Amino acid sequence: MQTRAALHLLAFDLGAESGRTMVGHFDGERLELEEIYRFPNSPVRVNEHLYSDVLRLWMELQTGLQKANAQTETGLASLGVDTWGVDFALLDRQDRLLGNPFHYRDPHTHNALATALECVPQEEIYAQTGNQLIEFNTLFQLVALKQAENPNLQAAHSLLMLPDLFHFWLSGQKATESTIASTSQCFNPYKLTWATDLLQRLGLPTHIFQPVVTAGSLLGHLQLWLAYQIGCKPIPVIAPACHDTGSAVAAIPVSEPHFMYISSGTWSLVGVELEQPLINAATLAANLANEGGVGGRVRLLKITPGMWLLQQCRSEWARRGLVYTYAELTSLAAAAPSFGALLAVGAQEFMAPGEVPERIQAYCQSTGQPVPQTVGEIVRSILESLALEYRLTLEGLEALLGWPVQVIHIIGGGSRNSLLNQLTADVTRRPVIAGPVEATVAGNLLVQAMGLGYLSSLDDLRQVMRRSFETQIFEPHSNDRWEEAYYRVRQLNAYGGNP
Amino acid sequence: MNYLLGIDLGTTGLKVSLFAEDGTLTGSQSCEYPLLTPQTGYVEQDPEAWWQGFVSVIQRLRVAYPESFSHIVGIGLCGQMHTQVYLDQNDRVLRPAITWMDQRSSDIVTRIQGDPISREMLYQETANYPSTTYTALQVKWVQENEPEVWRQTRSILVAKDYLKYRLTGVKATDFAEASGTLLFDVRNERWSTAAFDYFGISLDLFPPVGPSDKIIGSTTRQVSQETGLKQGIPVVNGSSDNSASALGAGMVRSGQVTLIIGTAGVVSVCSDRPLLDPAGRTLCWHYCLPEHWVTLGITQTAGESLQWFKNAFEPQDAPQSGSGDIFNRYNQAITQVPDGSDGVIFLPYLNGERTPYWDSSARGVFFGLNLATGKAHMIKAIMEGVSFALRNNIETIEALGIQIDEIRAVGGGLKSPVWLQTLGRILKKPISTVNMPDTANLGNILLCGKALGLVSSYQQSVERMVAIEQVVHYPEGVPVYEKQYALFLELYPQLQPLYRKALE
Repeated sequence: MQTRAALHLLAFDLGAESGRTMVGHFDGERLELEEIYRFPNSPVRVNEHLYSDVLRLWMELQTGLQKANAQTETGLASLGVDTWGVDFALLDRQDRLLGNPFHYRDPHTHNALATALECVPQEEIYAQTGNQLIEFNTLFQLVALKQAENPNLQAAHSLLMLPDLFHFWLSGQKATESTIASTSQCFNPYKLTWATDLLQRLGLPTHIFQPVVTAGSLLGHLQLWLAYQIGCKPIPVIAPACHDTGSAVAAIPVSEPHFMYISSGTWSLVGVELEQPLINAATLAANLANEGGVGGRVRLLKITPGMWLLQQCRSEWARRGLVYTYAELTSLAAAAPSFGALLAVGAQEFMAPGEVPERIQAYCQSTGQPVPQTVGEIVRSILESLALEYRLTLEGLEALLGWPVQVIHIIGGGSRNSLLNQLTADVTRRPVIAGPVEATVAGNLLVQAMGLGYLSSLDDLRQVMRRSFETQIFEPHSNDRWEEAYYRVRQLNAYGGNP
Repeated sequence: MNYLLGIDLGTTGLKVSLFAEDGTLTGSQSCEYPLLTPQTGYVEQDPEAWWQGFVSVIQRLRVAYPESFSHIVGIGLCGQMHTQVYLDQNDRVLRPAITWMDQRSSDIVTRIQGDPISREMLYQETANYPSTTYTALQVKWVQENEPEVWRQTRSILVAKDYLKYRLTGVKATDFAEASGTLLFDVRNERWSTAAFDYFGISLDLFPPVGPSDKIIGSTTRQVSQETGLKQGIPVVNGSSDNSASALGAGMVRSGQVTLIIGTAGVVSVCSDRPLLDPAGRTLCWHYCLPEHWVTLGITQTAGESLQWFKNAFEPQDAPQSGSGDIFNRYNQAITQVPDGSDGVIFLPYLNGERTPYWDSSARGVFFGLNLATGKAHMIKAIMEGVSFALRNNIETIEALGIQIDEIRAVGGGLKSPVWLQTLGRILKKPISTVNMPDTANLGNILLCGKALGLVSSYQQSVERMVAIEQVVHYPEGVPVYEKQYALFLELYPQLQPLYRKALE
């Protein structure tokens, strides 16, 4: 599908399960995506520990770059890497990698949050960083390393978040991009600098943190040895919004300023976009995170359960020989009756993997609801409950912001679920715009185009998105029974059991 | 919620903005007024046009935001520096205001420039050099050339102080504004009697001078009738437009810098003591914050250098095509040029240079052109050369005894993401760009909010109110720029005698 596009941009998108090399063909008006290479990326377990295998990923990046370069006659205009948040690598004084970076799901952070809170109260950590306090955040990973007297931390000269590490290897320039920094809980989102005071109070080394640059920064050009090896010219290396959600939200085809987004995957990141961080007692109580976006914007968001329950049910059923595709599950749910049992989707009992369908049934029993029996009924319960959960988050945000959300954008893989999209529209009584699925990659690529001077603002970027990708609109159909269901779900959330 | 009103009395127009006390912009209205040029080199303005402009703008604001308008609790203002109004004993305007752009005092300036002792005395007293922009020179001209006006003159007010007087009936000025008169002892925060004596101007003609963030009066009943503003709204002393803009961009402490790349490139370095240059290379003004000063470095042709390149090498009637305007295409082209432009170094002295050389004979140079040099190399070299000149200014000021640790860039020049990256690598300091259309009025309401006790700390308030758009920081720079910068610094002194010769 190579076009006459003027510009060929390369994105590396490293996700929880796989990594991809994608080329974007951008003619100044539209962006077309082409997948070049895909490789698995799961954490590597050694005994009790989980690591990110960064050297293998680095090899895969080079393979992807080689393939992309071979397929692009006129040469690549730039490249950039995005990943999930919080994970990092440590380098020694000669910039050599110190050990394998831990994966955020490694259990070594187990007591780190509690340890940190003994030194600095929760309110103060939140006030300085605006992040939800989650023990896998960079800050607590560092606290865990310090507590364990990890020699790598003692020898560390630099800390680079994972995308920064790859950018450093590509360009020779050490810097931390601000959206990825904003997931670390070590970063002040007002000043766009490291929260040095907080780090010092926790006894953490501050000299290892690197200078901060914002998304779209031209970090340098591909190092010469690498360019020779690949057989390309020294391609500009541009930091996109290095946090994948940051790239995804940048790529929302926004037309109405007062929107809420749902970046829908295993987790759903539900939030709004602001000009400045919002950090106060109410946002702390609502467990809202402030994460950095493109153009100095801030994503005020809540991490809510997303497709997790559905994914867990599906694999549990598959284990028993009942293999369904997501499309099949959704059509079974569509055929099942509405307004049955409801779940507080964030309830603790649903967090662990395993026999989730049984736990859902037990939950319904214990909360005095009709117990869903069929696969369709269970899936319907999950989807309706998710939509109701979205409305809870929406109304919580609206109360804090003082302005009404006019439209909801759903992006990412979960936006393919039309039934959930329609339910979300009905329950929230707002139009839902679904798509694009590939928001993260598109955002990564177009922020590079911004860094090259081909787009002058985030608004321009979003216009390109509107022109380039089909979206589907779901208009709300009101039904008073949703109000009653919403009341029930609020009770379930408030009391965790019998209303 | 309380609301604050900011007024920016600019050179070409007036902008009034209404803010909630938390710094959220409610809305703005603006108007333009003409610059009068009765003869070549004369640039005047009618003070009544400012007032009428203000009245019309304020009416529109009242209609657009009636609710917020009725909750205005304070007014802050700033304006074009140097421009002055002459009032008689009944406080009537005697002649059009003479603006900072007016060149009529050039003979007087030449006279003083030719007298090293006077020039030195003025620099010691006021930390500034005479030029046609400064108030005192223009006042001197009126004294010498318009005896009838001069005989009747009882007070002289700088532009925004006149507007403030119309609002409150009180005549007052502030340290930042007074810095632009060449009559103010910038170091000691008082009028310089020596400077007044030198120019033969009576001290009573100028109003008392005080800090920017103090309330000096309140809106009069007559103003209330004319504008719909309530009577008795406190009005703050205010400051100069560049001082308020810097505050609104977040410059609140010593070691911070505001950088504007427009036609010229201006660096304003904030310090907690006046930084006087024994060699006289830089200028020092009082800042709008108490006990803070700004030292200025000015590169004469910054954005103008690129504009020159475009004018010289692009066909005037070329169709706009491809990805946006010509400057966008320049940016796109240079991303593929390596740092250092393959050996080309540009000296941006197309129209002479101000700080640190003060050399009107200096001229532009492309050094190191070679067979590999293309158009994109020359464009990138221009951006690099201007960045070197800014670094030269910043280092000159640092040598006066201050450590600069943050640069805030405002204005359109750094819309180019590519130039920002280059600047970051050459200056090696953290640079942030501020995404605010109206930093001057934000600065105005911060000063007013402080005076009213609504703002407890400037530092905290700007953190909350000033949105940063982009940040770059490359503290180690890149080797090729370090090498080229050393060459850049050597080129000017080598060429200086030749520049002189060329003009003979």
